[in-house]
Amino acid sequence: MSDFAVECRGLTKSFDVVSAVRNLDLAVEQGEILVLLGPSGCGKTTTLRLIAGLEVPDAGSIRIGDQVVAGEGAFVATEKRRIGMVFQDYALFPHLSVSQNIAFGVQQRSSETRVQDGLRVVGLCGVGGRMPHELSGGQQQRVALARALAPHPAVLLLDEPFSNLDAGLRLQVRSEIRDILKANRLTAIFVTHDQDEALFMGDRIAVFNAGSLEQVGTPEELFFAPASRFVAEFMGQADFIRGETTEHGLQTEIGPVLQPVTLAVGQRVEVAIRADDVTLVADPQSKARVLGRSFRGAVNVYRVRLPSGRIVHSLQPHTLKLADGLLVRVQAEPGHPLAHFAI
Amino acid sequence: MRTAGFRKVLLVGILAAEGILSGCGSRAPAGSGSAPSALPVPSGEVVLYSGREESLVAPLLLKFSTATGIPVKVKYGSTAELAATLLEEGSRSPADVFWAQDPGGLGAVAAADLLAPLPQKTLGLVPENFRSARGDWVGVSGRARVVVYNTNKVQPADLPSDMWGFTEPQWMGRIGWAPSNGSFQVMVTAMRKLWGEDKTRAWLQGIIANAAKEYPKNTPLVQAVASGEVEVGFANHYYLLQISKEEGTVLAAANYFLPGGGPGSLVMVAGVGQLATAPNSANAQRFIEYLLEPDAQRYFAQDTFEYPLIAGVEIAAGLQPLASLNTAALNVSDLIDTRGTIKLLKEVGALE
Amino acid sequence: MRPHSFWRVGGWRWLLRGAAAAVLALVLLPLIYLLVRAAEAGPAALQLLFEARTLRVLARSVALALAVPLLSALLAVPLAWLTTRTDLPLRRMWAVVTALPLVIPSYIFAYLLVSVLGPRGLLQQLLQPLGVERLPDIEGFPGALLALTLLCYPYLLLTVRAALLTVDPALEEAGRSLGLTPWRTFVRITLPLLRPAFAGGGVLAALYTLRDFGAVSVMRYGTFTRVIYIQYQSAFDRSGAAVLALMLVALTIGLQALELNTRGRARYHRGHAAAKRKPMLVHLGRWRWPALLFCAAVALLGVGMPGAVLLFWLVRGLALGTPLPVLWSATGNSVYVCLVAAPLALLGALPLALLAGKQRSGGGRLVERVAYSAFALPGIVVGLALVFFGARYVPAIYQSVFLLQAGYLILFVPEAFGALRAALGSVNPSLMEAGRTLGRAPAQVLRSVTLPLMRNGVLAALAIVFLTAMKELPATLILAPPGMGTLATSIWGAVTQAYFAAAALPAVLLIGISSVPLAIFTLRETYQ
Repeated sequence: MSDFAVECRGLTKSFDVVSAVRNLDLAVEQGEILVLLGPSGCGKTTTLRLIAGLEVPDAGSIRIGDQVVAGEGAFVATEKRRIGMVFQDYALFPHLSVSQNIAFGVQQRSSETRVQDGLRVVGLCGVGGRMPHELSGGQQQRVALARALAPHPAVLLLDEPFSNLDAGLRLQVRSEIRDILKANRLTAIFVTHDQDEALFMGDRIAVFNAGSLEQVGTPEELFFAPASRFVAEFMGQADFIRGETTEHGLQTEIGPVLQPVTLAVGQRVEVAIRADDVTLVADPQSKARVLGRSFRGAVNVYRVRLPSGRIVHSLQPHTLKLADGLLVRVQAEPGHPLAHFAI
Repeated sequence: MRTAGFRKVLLVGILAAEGILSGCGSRAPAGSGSAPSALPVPSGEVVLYSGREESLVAPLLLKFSTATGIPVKVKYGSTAELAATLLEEGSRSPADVFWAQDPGGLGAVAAADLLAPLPQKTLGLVPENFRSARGDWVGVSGRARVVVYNTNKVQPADLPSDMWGFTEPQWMGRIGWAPSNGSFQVMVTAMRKLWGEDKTRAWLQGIIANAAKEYPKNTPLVQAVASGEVEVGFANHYYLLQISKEEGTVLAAANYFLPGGGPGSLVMVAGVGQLATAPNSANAQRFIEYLLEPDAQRYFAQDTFEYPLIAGVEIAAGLQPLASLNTAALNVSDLIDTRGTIKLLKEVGALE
Repeated sequence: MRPHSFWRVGGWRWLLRGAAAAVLALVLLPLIYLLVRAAEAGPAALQLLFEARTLRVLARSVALALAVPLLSALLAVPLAWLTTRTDLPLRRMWAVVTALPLVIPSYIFAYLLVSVLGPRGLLQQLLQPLGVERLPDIEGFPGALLALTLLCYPYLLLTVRAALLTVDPALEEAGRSLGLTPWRTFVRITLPLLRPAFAGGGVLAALYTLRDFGAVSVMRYGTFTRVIYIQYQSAFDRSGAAVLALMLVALTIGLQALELNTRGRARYHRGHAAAKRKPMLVHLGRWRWPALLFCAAVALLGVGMPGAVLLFWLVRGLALGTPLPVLWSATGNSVYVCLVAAPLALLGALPLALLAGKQRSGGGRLVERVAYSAFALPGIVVGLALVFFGARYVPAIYQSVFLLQAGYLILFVPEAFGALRAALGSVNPSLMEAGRTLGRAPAQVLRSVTLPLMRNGVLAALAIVFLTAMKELPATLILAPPGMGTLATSIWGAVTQAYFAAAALPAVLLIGISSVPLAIFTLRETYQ
C-alpha cells in the first residue's frame, strides 16, 4: 500500500487522434499541494479530469487513497471518488442560492452546520441567501471553494481557479486560499499555466510539456535546478547564454562561473541565467550595451545586449541608475550553481 | 435512489390513469363505463368500425343501444383508413362490424376473406342489386349521384340528360368536380362497367378539356355551386340538403337527377359486413338487423337525407322516390374495382 | 478543445444508451413496417419510384418543404424581434397571439382559409359591393404555402424568440462599439447567433409540412402525404403507399443534412451566470404603427379569421337550434391522452438529446436523423405500422390507449427532442461536472442541475407536444380504442359532412384548451 493521497501510473489518454496525456506517472502526498504547470494544451487539465473521473483513461491506473479508481479493470464514478473540484468558471449553480450551492454535496443532516462552517472558512458569512450572480468574481470564487470543501473531500482539485479574477484580487484570493488549504491540511491538485502562481501555491510543482512530465520538484528545485531547458524557460525570467564546461565550472560569454559540473569537460552548453544572478558595472571598454530599464518599484530590471547579440536581464537596486545606451561590463554572480544544458 | 422512486410513481400514475379513463370515451350510453380497453371483451357489446362520420351515425347508435341494451364501441375513420386497418389486423381484429361509406371498402375487406356470410333473412330485406353477390355484406342506405346546379345561372332545361352531355363545349369553364372523392370514383367505376374503358377515358378527358375546376370534397364543391364559383357540380344528393339545413338559408342551387339513365344516375349504397372473427357475433348480427329495421331506415331518410333501402319507408321531402329514378342497372358488386378506376384517373391526369 | 463527454462517462452511459436504443427501436418500427410492405410490391415498386408522376410529387414536396420554412422565417423573425427587443405596445399579448396558429388543426385551418379567401369566399362577398365578382384561385402551391406557413411559422417564432432571449447583450453591444448601426448589428451579429434557432425551428416546420395531410388535401397540392393517402384509398394499395412513404423518409434525411450544415461548428452556450443582463429595448417611435399593423395582420390571418368563422358557425348553429353533441368525453379523452403524451415524449426524447447534444460523431448524427425521420411520416403510416405490430405481437395492448400512446411517442419524440437539444446546448457543461464532483450520480445531477436549468426548454417541449397531440388526427383515428373519440376526431367527422356547427364546437374547445399551455409557456418566457 502506498502512502500517497493520489497516485497515477502510466496514465494515457488521447482524443480522436490527438494524444493529450502520455504514460504519466505522478504521486501526491497527504496534505500536499501539487501544482500541475504547463502551457495550454499540455495535458494538465486532462490529467486533472482523469483524476476527477470526468474522462476515462485509455491506459494506466489512478489510485486515490487506498482505492484504485481507474485502471486495473476498475472505474469508479466521479461522485464516488471523494474529490472536490473548483472549476475555472466556478460552475456555481445559477438556480440555487449560495447556501444551496454549498449544501449541494452534503448529506441532509449535517448541511446547515457545514454551510455555516464553509461560509466562515471563506469569510463570506451573511451572503448565504444571495444568488450567485449577485456576488463579485472574488466572492464567487470563494463560494466555489466552500462548495468543493463542504463534503470534506479526500483531495481537492482546482482547475485554473484564478484565471477569471483581475490581478489585484488574484494575489489576495490565492494567498487566502493557500492559507485555508494549509490550515485544514488538505491534499490539493492545482492546475495553472502561470508559473508565478505555481511557485506561490505549490509544495511541489509538476511541469507538463506536450502530454508528458518534464520535471517534478519543489519550487526551489525547479527554479534553481531545472531538469531541462523547457523547464528553465517556462519557470520564467531565465536568459540563455552560450558556454563550455571546464574543470572547475563553466566558461561563459560573461566570464567564468565556479561550480560543480557533471558533463565532460569541453562540452558546449546553454547556461540559464536570471536577472538576480547578473551584475552590471559601467565600463566604456565593454561591448555590452544597456537597451532599456523597467521600473519595478524597489528595483530596476535592465535589459542588456551582449556582444554575441544575446539579451540578458539584470536586477539592480533603484539607487543604481544606468542610462540607455551605456556600455557596461556584465558579470555572473549567482551564489548558486547555474543550470546548464548540453547542446 | 430517489430517481428510481420518482420514475416508479410516474409510471404507476400513468398506468392508473389509463385504467380509469380507458372506458370513458365510449359514445354508447349504457354499461360501458368499467369495460377495460384491452380485448377481447366477451361482455354484451358490439365493436363497430365506422367509415361513416360520427355526425351521421352517432344518434342512430344511441337509439340502437337504448332499444337493445347493447352498448356500441365505435372507431370512426375514413372508409379507406379503416379498411387498411382491418387488412393489417387480419384475423386479430377486435372489430365485430365494418360499416363502410361505399362498396369499395367493403369489397377490399371481403376480398381478403375477412367478412362472414350474412343470414338470408337479413340479405332478403334489400333489393338484390344493393347487396354483395357473395352475401357477405349488405347495403343499408342509398345515395343518388346528382348534378348540383346554380339556379341563378342554369335552367334545368339546359342540362343534358346524361353525363356524356357535359363533354360538350358549352360547358367550358362551368363544371366543378371532386375526383379524389370516393363517391365520384364509384361513379367512374360504374361508367367503366356500363360504357367500357375507352368511352370512360374519353368522358374524363372531355371533362378535363372543359376546364373542370377541382374540389377536395363534395361539401366545398356544392358550396362553390351555390356561390356561383362554378355552375354545375357532380355530387351526391344529400350534401345540398345538409348544407341548406346547416346554413339555415335556401341556397341558390338545386339537385338534378339525370333522367337518361347510365352511370350518372347511379344509386350507391353505404353498407355493413360482419367480421368473420367477430368476438361478439350475436350482437353484430343484431346490430346489422337493426340497421335494416324501419326505425333505423326512417332515421336515414329523415336525418341524413339518404334513401332507405327497405320497402315502405318514406323519403325526405324534396327527394324523388327511388323507384322514379332511372337508376343504372348495376349490382353493388360491380362497383368495387376502385383500383382500376384510380389507375384510369391517374392516367388521364385527374389524380396525382 | 476538450469534448463534452459528460453523459458518456461511467456505467451510467449504458443505462442511457439502453434507454435511447429502446426509444429508437420504437421510432424505427414504422420504417420496418414500410420495408415489409414495400418488399411485397416487388419490381413494381421500383417502377413506381421512377415514374414521372412520382418525380413530380418529389419536386412538389421539396418545393413546399423549402418554401414554408423560408416564408415562415420572414414572418417569425420580425415578430420575435418586435416582441422581445422593442417597446412595441402590448408586447406580451402579441407574443401569445402570434404563437396561437400552432394550436389550430391544419385540415380545419385550410378549409377555413379557402372558405374565406376562395374565389367566391367570404372576402369576395364583402368586396361584392365594390364590384369584385371573383378572387383569384388560391388552391395549389400558393394556397398550400400560405396555409402551411401560417400554421408553421410559430415553430420558428418560438425558437427564435427563445434564442433572442438568451443572446448575450454584450455581443450586440460589442457590435455597436465597433461602429455598426443597430440594423447592421442585427444583420451581422444577432442573425448569425440565431442560426441554431433557425435550423431547429426550420427543420420542424419543414418536417411538419412534409407530414401534413389536411392542408395539402384541401389545397389539392399533390405532395407525398396526399399521394400516399390516395394510394391507400385506391383499392387499399398498401405496398405502393409504402414505397412512396420510404421516398418521403429518404427526403427527410436529405433535408436534415441541410440543417446540420447550417448549424456549423460554433458553440453557442453562454459563459456563466454573471453574464446575464437584459438588453436595452429598442424605441420604435413612429415605426410602432407599421409594426402594430404587421402584428395585427399576421394575427388576423392566423388566428382572427379562423376564430371568427368558427364562432360564426357556432352562433348560427345555435340560432337555428341545431342540436350540438355533448363533448365531455371527447374533451376529457383529448386532454387526458395529451397530458400523458407530453411527458412521455419528453422522457423518450431525453436520452436521445443527452446523447446527441454535443456529439458531432457519426453515431450522434445517426441518432438525430433517425429521431427526426419519423416526424415527417404521415400519421396514417405510423398508425398502420402500430396496427401491424400491435395486432401481431402485443395483442394484450392492441386497440388500447397504450398503443395510441406508443403512436404519439413515435410521432412527437422528434419535436420534444428538438426543444430539449436546444435547451441542453445552452447549459454550461461544467455545471453538470460540478454536480458529479459533489457526489451526485448522473441521474441526480440530471434532476437537480440539468433539468432545472433546462426548465424553459422542458416547458416548451411539453407545451408543443401537448398541442400537437391535441390536433393529431390520422394516427388517432386508427389507434384510439373503439369508443374513444377525441376533439380532433369530432371536428374531422363533422366538417367533411357539412355539419358546420357540430364541427365548430369541438374546434373552439380544442383551440381554447391548447391555447392555455402555449400562453403560459409564452408568458413565462422572459429574461431570468
